[in-house]
Amino acid sequence: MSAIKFETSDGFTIQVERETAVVSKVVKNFLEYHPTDKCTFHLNCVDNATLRKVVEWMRHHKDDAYIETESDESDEERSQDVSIEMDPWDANFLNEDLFFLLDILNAANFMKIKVLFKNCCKKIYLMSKGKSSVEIKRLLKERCDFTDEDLQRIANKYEWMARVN
Amino acid sequence: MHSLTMREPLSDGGHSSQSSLADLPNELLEKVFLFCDGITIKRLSAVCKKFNTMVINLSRLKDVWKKCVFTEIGKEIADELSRYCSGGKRLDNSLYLNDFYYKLYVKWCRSLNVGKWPSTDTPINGFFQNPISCIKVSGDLIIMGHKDGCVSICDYLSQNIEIACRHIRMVTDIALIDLAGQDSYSIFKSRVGAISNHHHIVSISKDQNVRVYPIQSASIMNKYSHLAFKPASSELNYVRVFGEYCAIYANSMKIFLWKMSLSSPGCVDVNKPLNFSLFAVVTSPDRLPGWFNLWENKVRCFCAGRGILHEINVENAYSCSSRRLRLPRLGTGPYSQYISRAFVLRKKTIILVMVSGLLYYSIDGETLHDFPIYKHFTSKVITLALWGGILALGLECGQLAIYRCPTISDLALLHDQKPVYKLHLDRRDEPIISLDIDDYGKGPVVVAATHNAVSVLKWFSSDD
Repeated sequence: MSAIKFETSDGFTIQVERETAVVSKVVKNFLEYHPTDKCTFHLNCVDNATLRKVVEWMRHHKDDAYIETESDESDEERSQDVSIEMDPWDANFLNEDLFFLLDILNAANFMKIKVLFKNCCKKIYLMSKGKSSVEIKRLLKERCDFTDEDLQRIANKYEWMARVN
Repeated sequence: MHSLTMREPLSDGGHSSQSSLADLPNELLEKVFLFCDGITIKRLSAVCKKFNTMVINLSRLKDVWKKCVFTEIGKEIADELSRYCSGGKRLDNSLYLNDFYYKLYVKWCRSLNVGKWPSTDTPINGFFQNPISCIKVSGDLIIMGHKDGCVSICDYLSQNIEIACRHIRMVTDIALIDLAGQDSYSIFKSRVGAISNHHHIVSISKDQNVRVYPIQSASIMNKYSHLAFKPASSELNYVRVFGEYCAIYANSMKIFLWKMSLSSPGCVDVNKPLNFSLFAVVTSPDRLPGWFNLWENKVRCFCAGRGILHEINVENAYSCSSRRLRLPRLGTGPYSQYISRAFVLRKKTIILVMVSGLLYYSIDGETLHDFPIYKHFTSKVITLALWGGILALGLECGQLAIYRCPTISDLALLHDQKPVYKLHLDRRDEPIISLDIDDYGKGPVVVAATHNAVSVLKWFSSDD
């Protein structure tokens, strides 16, 4: 039986069926040039928990046609796409805290899983949507490296642009 | 057995847990940002220095502001704010600079700050000898039409008034032309360097003449640059300009349409007249007086008599489609008994003022809705102006009321809102007869006129 193995950064190994593994563009491309049944991918930057989450996503979406058709579109095309529509299963699946979401985002980027990557971006956007910069800062636990003057200047410049409701 | 090692391209992170969004490599962060809407992007830029730099670079490189314009403002208002320009400035044109969208967006945002920012009110009095009949504003200049037939230009910074043109009888309407699509023009020579957003004026009067001339004082104007013609032997009621089209509504129920062009494309030469070529003459479908507006290449004409809205496509002067507005039950007689004024605005908006003082509005050009904001005032609405996010109403008692109306659909939400700004223009309770709104470069400017007095209201931001 054909099986692909992923080795995580913290030393775990996860075995995945071929049709699930090829959801990742990297795996797919590799297998196209090196046809083999057995193969191990060392993921230096993805830990066990993240990989399990990503594999769960890959299993759920392995038969979806749009995963295949998702091409390497240019950034320009993407910026035109203002839709933040998401599959409800995905929306629920990604109901995680920001740090885990960032890990998934990173993993999706390294493994070249476009749709998952996009959905992570959308999720992060949805988390920060409608919040003020202070709230966003709290949410993202960002360090504040602005001086008070900087902050005042920037707040003046951008907050007045925000729509008054 | 094959094996592949995927390494993180940047070695600093190693393990990304316990990290924050700011620890993402720039190219990933940029991708996340590209999914965000305008406001969120702006707010993200105020979170930390890294985000700020990212957003500044993004807005230069990507279409952040274009996105803001399309998702928040909507095409109709965006078209309006692009100052009725045609010169290569159409919204679907990819030749647009990103900078253009930024300016447009800022203009819109600023228009929402009426009543929130500090304002200045400059009253200009002394028109008792020469009452005003209509008024327009363009940048730092006010263009006034008078009852004696004069058109005067006043820069409200120094309050210096100069005559630009003399008709024989009362000036009925004025429209301003910007064909070159530049940001501003300094054709009018003033001591304080006042600028305008337009370069030519078209004025019509009861003497049936149309006159077109640059925004200059008559004393220095080259007589060859002045264009005068008489399209019909009837009074001319309204003139509208949109981009390269100019439309005039004559009392004989005729609508004249011209296509305008500069003598040398893209370059304003005040010594040469504009080219006016008659494009179409359309007989208004109803033999009753009406109101009209020009938007893009469509004339919409509202005839009070039967309450019918006609839409005339300029591209094809022979086809004229009429659509009936579903007017609410108003009584039995003809509608003209009930409608005192109609304001045909933008692409589809109509606001009707009834004789009784009631207001109706339509934003789709099909259905009319009750507009109960008249309950906020004790007197009737005489004139109104809609620009960007501002709705200004001029009342019979001389009061000016300004509402915030960010998008077209927000008109429906004004019911339970109070005006953000109110001003009593005239001590003698003269009605406000004319209103206009424009952008002076740092914020919105609203001018309101009674027959004898003009008031200029400017809002300015503290950050400039």
